[in-house]
Order: sequence, then structure tokens, then C-alpha cells
Amino acid sequence: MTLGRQPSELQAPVLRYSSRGSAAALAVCLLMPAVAAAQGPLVPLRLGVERPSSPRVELSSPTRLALGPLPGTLAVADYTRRVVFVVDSEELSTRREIPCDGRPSAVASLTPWLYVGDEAGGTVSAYNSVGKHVFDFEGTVGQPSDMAVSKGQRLVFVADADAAEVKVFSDRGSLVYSFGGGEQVGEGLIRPTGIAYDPDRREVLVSDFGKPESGISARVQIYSQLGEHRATLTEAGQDPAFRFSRPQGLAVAGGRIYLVDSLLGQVLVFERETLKGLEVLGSYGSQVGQLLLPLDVVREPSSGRLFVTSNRTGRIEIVADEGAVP
Amino acid sequence: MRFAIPRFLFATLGLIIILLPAGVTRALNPNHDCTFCHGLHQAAGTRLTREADVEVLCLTCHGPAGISVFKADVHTNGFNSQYPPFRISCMTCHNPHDNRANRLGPHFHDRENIDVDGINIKLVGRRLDASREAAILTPNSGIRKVVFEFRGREIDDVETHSFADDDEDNDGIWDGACEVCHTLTKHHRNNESGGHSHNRGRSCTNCHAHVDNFIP
Repeated sequence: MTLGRQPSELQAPVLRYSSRGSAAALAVCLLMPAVAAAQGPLVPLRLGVERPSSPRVELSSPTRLALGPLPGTLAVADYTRRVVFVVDSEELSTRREIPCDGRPSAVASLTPWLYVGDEAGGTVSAYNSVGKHVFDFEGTVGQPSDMAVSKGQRLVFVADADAAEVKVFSDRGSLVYSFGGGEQVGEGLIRPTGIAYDPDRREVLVSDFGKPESGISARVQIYSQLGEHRATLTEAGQDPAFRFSRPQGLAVAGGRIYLVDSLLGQVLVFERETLKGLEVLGSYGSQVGQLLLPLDVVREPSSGRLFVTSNRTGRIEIVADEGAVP
Repeated sequence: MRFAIPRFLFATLGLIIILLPAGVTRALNPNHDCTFCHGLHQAAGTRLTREADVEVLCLTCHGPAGISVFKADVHTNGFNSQYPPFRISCMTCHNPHDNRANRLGPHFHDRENIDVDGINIKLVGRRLDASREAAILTPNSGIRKVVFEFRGREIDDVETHSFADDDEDNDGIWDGACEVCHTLTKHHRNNESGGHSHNRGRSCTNCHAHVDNFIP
């Protein structure tokens, strides 16, 4: 299943109302009256042959993904359109567009906030459920490459690619502490890209390009919530199918690490306990269902589906955890 | 039976190898280590590149979420463009290995009153003919020599030999990085036609950002 642009020619724009979507919107209205006031008609995205298509909203350069900000929704940062889309993960329709002044490079959500990292401005901003900017995080973040949240601790972990460290903020944007920078090469960060939080183990996982010119290969650094280094996942010792060099977004669930490699066009699945490769999901290519410069992955707990951004094709591909594209 | 290879043959072979024309490509740009793009054991593409699609290879670092601060994208025109659709990829304009010498070579830039080493910046221009000078294979004008030594008035305070600066050397050659290909645009074509005064000498990418496909 694919969300976003299709290889075919543009079609005449069509607006359709979904009964299920309307029911969902009604539920939202009961919970959040402000949302009802601002809610517009649901606009289906282009989905290809399975559903009616409307080119009115198209993904141009989807980069990062996040679950939320509302139940059953996804936040999608579009780098070149400078917009964060809030998408219904079931209906695959747009709930809201949040325009950004800079370049949205990271997204995360902790109810009631949607956090957006701006690469151009070096800031992280918080928006409410209707897309209104509410506050900015304390200080500058350099280059917010990705973000993850701890719902239990109400913390926001920001991978700062410029400072090569993880900055940890409260849900209100106050800097609490940071880690990963200025440490030993083996345990520290060099060129961090993606970040994920494992609530079961209370661990923070950070993908890192490493420094190949100095013999430091790409890796995933694993820290405790407080920043104590626990393990490093590299391609060393892995089956050739699990060798990676351009690690990007991460997701963690059920003892499995889902790692996107933007060069391979695949999602590599590793076992957290042994750090060994388990399976490879997706394939490189530009056809519907394939991945071309994938940058992020999120796993929907209720369904087990994996949503993966395919940046070059302007789509989000949905992959079943078993490995088959439905 | 012994096969004795004369020592002088070894020496000769070694000398030949050392003195071979520099057809061997080396990554002299310190930011582009060989292993970034090439791999002996995972070479899906041609010339041992790690990926069949070189454009994707470039964008893993220079695209969204990439580690480079120099963000870029391919050169295309927008949906509402009046021109025929086109798509120019990374290696049409850039040589990822090193900056090449341009057709001017080391020279005294008399308009700016400075000595210039005659090397293009930003890896612009490739070796496309026997001259080995920086050039671009344009869509409509064949191979054109390109001179790109400065990034324009606002950045280096040098407005010529940059993006688009008309026939700044008065030699009938429009060789700015953005000029060499243009034949239909309103401004800055690769010949005397059209207008050449549009923000002449300024950094085109101020308005035509590389990361936005150069679309303003």
C-alpha cells in the first residue's frame, strides 16, 4: 500500500468525503471543540488504483515521520514543501497541513504537542492540535536531524547533527541534559542522523554515519535514557545482507530494531538482544511499493504496520512487519 | 625450466606505471573519501559505485536528512513552467572527485585586481574532452567550457567568473555556471541573446536555491 505520488499522470482534482473519516472527525470534535471549529473537509491523497485519487495534496520530499499528534494519525515532514502533514493512518487522508518557515527536518509528538525541528533555523517548535505555533524549545539545536519521545517521562530526545550529540528536553522545551558528544569515538556520536526511543528498555538509539575516511564505520549507538552507552550496532560480523552505510530513521518494538538505510533502499531488522540481523524489508527502486532514498520508519503499535518515507519518489510506503508489502 | 625476468623489465614496467597519464581518478576532495561512493564488494553500480543510481548516492549526504550542510537537489522545472520538462542530475555539472582547472587557467583577474588560480570551485565542471578543462555537457549546446571561481558579489565580493556574469572576459564566451546551458530562458543564456543584466554578478542561489531544484 502506498501513500503519496504515483508514477501516472496527474488527474483532475476530486474532493470526496469519507464516512469513516467523518466519524473519526466527529469523535475528534467531541474531544476537542477547537479542532471542530478549524476542521475542514478530508482530502484523500493519491493512492493509486485502490482508492479515489486527488492530486491536490502531494508529497514532494517526505523525510521524517512520527506517530500522532492525534490517535490514528501520522505526522510527515515534507522538506521542500516546508510543510508538516498530519495524516490519518487508516484513511490515508490529510487532516491538517502545518506550514513551516524553515526546513522541517524532524517531527515528534507528545500529546497535546506536535514538535517540529527546523534545520534552517536550528530550532524546535511546538504546535497544538490545530496547527498553531505555541512555543519554541530553549536555545538553539544546531541541526535537529530527528526526534524521539518518552511518553512516560515526558521527554523529547533531539539528535543534533551539528553538535553531534543528543539534547534532551522536557515536553515544554526546557533543556534537561545532553549526551553523546565529546566522548570516546567508540561510544560517542560523530554524524548522527536518526533517533528512536525504546520504552521497554528505556534506551535511546541513534543512527550515525560514522567516519569512514578514518575507518569508523556507520553504526547505531545505544544509550540508556540518561546517556550511558550500552551497545553499538555495526555491520561488523553481520551477514552481508545486513551491512549498512547510510543509516537513517529508526524504530524499536518488541525487541526488534528497524533501521532504514537510505542507500540500500531497505529496512534492516535487527534483534536488540544479540544485535544480529533478522530480516530485510522492502527493496530498492522507484516503483510503487519500493523505496528510493528512504529516510524514516515508524511502527504503528495497533497494527504492526511499518510506515517508511521514500523521499525520491515522494511517497510513504506501508510495509507489513512480516516483510511483505500488502 | 626457469623463467628469468630481467630486472630492467621490472624497472621499466614500474616507470611506465608511474608515468602513465593521469587517467586514474583520485578523490582529492578531502570531504569525499573513496569509500563514500565506491566499494569493492558491494558495487551495485558501474565503476564500483555502491549504488546503481548515482543521484541517490549523492543525495544520501546532500539531500534531506543528509549529513552535509551543503544541501542540493537535481535541476528541474516546476509544474507551471513554460519550458519543456527537463531534469539535470548531479554529475552533469559536478565532478565528485576534485575541482578541475578551467579554460582560463591561472591568471590575473584585472577587473578584480587579484591573482586567480584558474580552478573551479564547488566541483563544477567535468573533463569531457582532450583539453581536460572544466566543462558541462549541455542539453542543447554540446560541450561548453565553464568557469566558476567565485560565488558572487554577496559572498566573495567578486562578481565575475561566477554563476551568471555575461561575457565578462569579452571573448564571446558565456561560461558562467548557470549560463552555459540556458538557451531559452529570459535571462542569462549562453549567447548574446536574451537579457544578461538580471542580478548580474550576484549569487543566483540566493533566489534559485539548489535544494529547491533551482526553482525560485
